[in-house]
Amino acid sequence: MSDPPLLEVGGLVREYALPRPHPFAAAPRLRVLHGIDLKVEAGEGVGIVGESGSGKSTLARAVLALEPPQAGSVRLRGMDLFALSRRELRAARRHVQAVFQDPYGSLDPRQRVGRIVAEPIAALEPGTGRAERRRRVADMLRDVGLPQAEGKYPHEFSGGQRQRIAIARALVTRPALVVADEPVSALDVSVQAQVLTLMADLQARLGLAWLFISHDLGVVRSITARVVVLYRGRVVEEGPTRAVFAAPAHPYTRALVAAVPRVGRVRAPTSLPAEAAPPGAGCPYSVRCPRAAPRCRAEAPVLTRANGRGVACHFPG
Amino acid sequence: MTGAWRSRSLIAGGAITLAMIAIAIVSLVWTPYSPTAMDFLHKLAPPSAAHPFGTDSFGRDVLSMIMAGAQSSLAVALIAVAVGAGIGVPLGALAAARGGLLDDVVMRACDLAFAFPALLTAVMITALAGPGAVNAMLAIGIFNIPVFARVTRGSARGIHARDFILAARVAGRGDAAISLIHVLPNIAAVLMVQATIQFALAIVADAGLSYVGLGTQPPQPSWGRMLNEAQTFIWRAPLLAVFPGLAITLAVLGLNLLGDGLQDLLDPRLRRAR
Repeated sequence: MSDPPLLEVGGLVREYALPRPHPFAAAPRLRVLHGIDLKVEAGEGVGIVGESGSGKSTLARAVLALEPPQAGSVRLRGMDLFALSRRELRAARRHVQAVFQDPYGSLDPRQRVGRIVAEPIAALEPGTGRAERRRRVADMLRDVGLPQAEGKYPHEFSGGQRQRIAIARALVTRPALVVADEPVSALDVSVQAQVLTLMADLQARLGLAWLFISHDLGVVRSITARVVVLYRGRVVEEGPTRAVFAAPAHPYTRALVAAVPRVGRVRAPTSLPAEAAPPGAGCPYSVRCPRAAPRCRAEAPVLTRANGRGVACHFPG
Repeated sequence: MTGAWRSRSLIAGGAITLAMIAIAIVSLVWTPYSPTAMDFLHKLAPPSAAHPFGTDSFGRDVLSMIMAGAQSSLAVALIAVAVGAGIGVPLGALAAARGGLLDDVVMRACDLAFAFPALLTAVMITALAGPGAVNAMLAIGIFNIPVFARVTRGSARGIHARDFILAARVAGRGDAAISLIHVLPNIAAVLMVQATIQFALAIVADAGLSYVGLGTQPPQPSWGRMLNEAQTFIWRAPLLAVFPGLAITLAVLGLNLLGDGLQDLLDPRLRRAR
């Protein structure tokens, strides 16, 4: 038996309670994640793609141990995050950090950058001396290209610079895994490239793994080696990023790839009609799928893996 | 309203409030006469050079009494606001951080407290617990708790929805640390404005309680009781009621202007519109 993978998500189910229709009714539940399986190895960049509502961010929150799932597990180096004691969880948090989407909302406007970046050290490594903390914050800020930013407030920085500060905060405890939830989608395209280059550079230099969540396939292609496609809280396809985008096996992935706008190309109408009725037993994508057959409406396909790729479709290819 | 007017309200309110604090402090060491010294030869005297605000029915100097009365008004209001904020702010912050059932219970309890007319219940509390400045402080303070709890909870929830709170959780901070480090500094401005408004209301409430004899007890002078005593002589010495009335009005006006001005100063949205 080899070492357990860095991150292993198994059968993750997450439901949210909806408002009760009347005070004595049981609260109806909305299932957002329907049993997600996911593995990330050390040093690996894994992309999670899917449209709004596919459960990407919910998955991120579960991996960050912010919201407990209804079923399934999130294991970090074999430790089940939701079975740990409070103290053990705090120790585990040193190894998983996060970068959030909105660079304007993810930094406390009342704190100076030095204090923001030092927060994970202060909270997760309380034994650290003041001088060492200051040195590590300075080193980290230099690594993200913002030397001597400690004394300034977040509002003195642009969106791209703020995201660099957020990256510095995420990496200051030298985590093994960083969950990045749409880290560049709020930035200008030119700034996106800079931040992505920085992230790829830091990944190579520090040997960290990214779980990179995005709806932007171009961004995912540029920074991840492996990709997982989510649809309505289920994994519909996974595999090496290049191979999946070059030859998508699932009709949903194909629609996503085809939807990437390219100059000069006449686009075939790949309209994705809004989902009509929630699917019962059948494939959740069958309502939108151009190739849906009677079998698709009767029976949900399971994810089958072969040659490092996996797809959940009765008629892949 | 224009910005110039707004900053004027801040300056005027600040000046009045500072003057009141200064008068209260000066009165600790010096008043023209002793505020309790009676002089039956000169009772109910109209304003004169010797007694700028006149004398009351016991011949006490009204100016000295007004000055000393500022002490008890300020002390009662200050403690009442401190009690209200000291309990209400943590309660509201906790409700916002935890949410769920605890949030519901705290907020419904606040609704319940709001259903009682504050001053009447303060009268009831002091009537049951016995009159006196300390009980007045507590009675007024208790009714400040839900006000602070609600304001804190409302603004804190807005802060909790922001990503830097998630980042702090990922960094291993618990509810208490997040509330102290991230939430309170971000809502301090709102709380300060609310405290100023509550301070003004507490002065009115204190005056009301001492007017009906449940607040500060004699011989310590208080504005409310001066009003009450002046009532008997309203036809013989109408000015006797005017001075404590003016003192209360001015104190409340100053605090309200200050709160108004602070709000605009601390609210970046309104400042940008300037």
